[in-house]
Amino acid sequence: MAEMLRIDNVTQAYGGLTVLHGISFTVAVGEKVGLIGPNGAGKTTALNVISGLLPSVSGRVCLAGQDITKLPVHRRIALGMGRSFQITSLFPELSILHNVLLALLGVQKSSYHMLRSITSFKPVNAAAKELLDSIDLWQARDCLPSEISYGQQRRLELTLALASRPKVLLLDEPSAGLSTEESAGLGKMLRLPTYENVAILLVAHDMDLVFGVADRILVLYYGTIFAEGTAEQIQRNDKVREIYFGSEAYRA
Amino acid sequence: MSAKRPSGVSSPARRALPTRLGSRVAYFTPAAIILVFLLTLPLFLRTDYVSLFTKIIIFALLAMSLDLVFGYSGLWCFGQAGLFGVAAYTVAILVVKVGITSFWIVAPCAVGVAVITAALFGVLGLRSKEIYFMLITFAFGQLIYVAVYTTSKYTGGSNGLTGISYPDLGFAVHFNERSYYYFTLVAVVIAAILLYKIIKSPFGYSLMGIRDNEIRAKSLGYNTWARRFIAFILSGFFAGVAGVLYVYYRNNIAPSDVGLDYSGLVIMMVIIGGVGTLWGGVVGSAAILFLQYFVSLYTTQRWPLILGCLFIAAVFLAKDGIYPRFTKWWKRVCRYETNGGNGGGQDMRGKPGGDTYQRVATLFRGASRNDAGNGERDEATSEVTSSDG
Repeated sequence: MAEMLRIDNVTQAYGGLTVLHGISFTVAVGEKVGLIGPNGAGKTTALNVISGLLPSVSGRVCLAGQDITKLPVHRRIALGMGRSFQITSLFPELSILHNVLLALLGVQKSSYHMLRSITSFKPVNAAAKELLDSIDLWQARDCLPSEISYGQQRRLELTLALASRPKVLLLDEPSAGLSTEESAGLGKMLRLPTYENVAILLVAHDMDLVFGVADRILVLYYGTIFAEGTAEQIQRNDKVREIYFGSEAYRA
Repeated sequence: MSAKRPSGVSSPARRALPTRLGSRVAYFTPAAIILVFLLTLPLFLRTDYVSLFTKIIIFALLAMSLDLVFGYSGLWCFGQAGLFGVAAYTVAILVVKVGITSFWIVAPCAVGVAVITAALFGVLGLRSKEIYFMLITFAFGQLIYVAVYTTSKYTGGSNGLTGISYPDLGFAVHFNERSYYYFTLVAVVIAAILLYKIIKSPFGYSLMGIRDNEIRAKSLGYNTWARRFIAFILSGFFAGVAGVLYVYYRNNIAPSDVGLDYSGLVIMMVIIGGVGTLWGGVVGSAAILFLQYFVSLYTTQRWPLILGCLFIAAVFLAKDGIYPRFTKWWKRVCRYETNGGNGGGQDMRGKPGGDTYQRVATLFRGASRNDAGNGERDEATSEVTSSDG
């Protein structure tokens, strides 16, 4: 399969603390890759380097063969990246409808229009209505994000990332705070044929979600890729159990 | 002038209401009354009041131009009077020192200088944010003040420049207080309409998005720096227009008109009127300048003291500003909005479980990535389209 995303020897440090020690991996077109690891392993940092929020200290990031290491975030998004956040990240002072409209307009030239009302862009507004209908928030479109429930906020968060139809989707803990049922629904959705051609890099603590979605799993441990394989291989890997499931068993 | 807050808290027209027409009437009544008053006031008010209202609408424009960056873009600019001042001084220098009197040459030059100044400030200032941006713009404001103060050969130093009469439009118009009031009113109303259009446009909403959550805006593909820069330049443009109107109104210009006092005054107008409401600037300008006028009739020296007290009172009594307070009260009086922000609560609750996510997925292939023009939705039911095409 063609390669969609390539992370090549990426190192990242916060001050003197090196968080990523030259990690390398690729994600093929349409491939679903799970990125797991204990807290502080560098998962979110890896996503930030890939999406451009953090400039990497060294190494390269390529999207569909193009070197995007030096590109700012908005250029990477325009090239077909989408990103959701671990901590719900919405526009708190704007209505839910306007949150979605901004998500749809982000990669479009029409977002620079200054003298036409945002509601006069018919196709964008129709798309926003459909997106909001699909997450049952159309009725609440005039509410602020703080006026809807946490589960609804999470759904809105994911919808914002999906609105621009990315080729690569970076999901940071999409199931954080969701019920088991909702999390299962999310997993089922990510495996739908619709997303066949969307490469997904899924960071999650929710093992059911990762094992259900990912074709391949990478285990990040203290900034290095510690193990790599299919769900079964990772589940059978003793060393992974020790660092990951072991600690969880200990906690339980 | 009446418009709802940009936060999109409510949209009365969109909900099913028994008295939609009534609500519309209630919604626009205050705006209509104010507009009629502004249009007719020179017919029945003394000239010194007409002159006061001219000043109010000029500062209303300056306050609105500030609100575009201060309220809508989250850039706390403390140098707005500097932008206003360079435009005013450009007019004064061209008219008095250079001898070009045609309004059609002088005004565009002055606004152009304000825009270039704003661009320079933007390039340097937008490296920082919030309080640091405030400090930098504060310094820029002082820089302009000192520049006009010390280059007395061109600017008249501390005395400023005098002898700028009403604008020379090139055809026979006899300007006096009343007709210049109308001239100003037309300019300010056009500018206000443009500003209103900007804040309701995709660009305006993207500014609010960037203000609210810059990381999220970046992650949706917005070039946040460029948009802030454009907003700052637009603000400089409107501040420049206000500066041009002001220098013709005053017939002279002095360093005190471009200094820190005025920058602070305009910020206070925006805060007292209501940050991020656009029309709040109009209300704040009227409130402060009225008070200043009447206080000055009795005591000129104590005005700053009274202004300080007013500011403290405004912070305690009307935290969001007079304008949002008024619209809330007016809505309650007219009952033109249903209670609660969420349209009933029950129907907005999502069904539990995975259904929702599956429906998001069915939309994914249809969601228009392309521009508004060609993103028709008719393929939504067709084959799963490859998303990397």
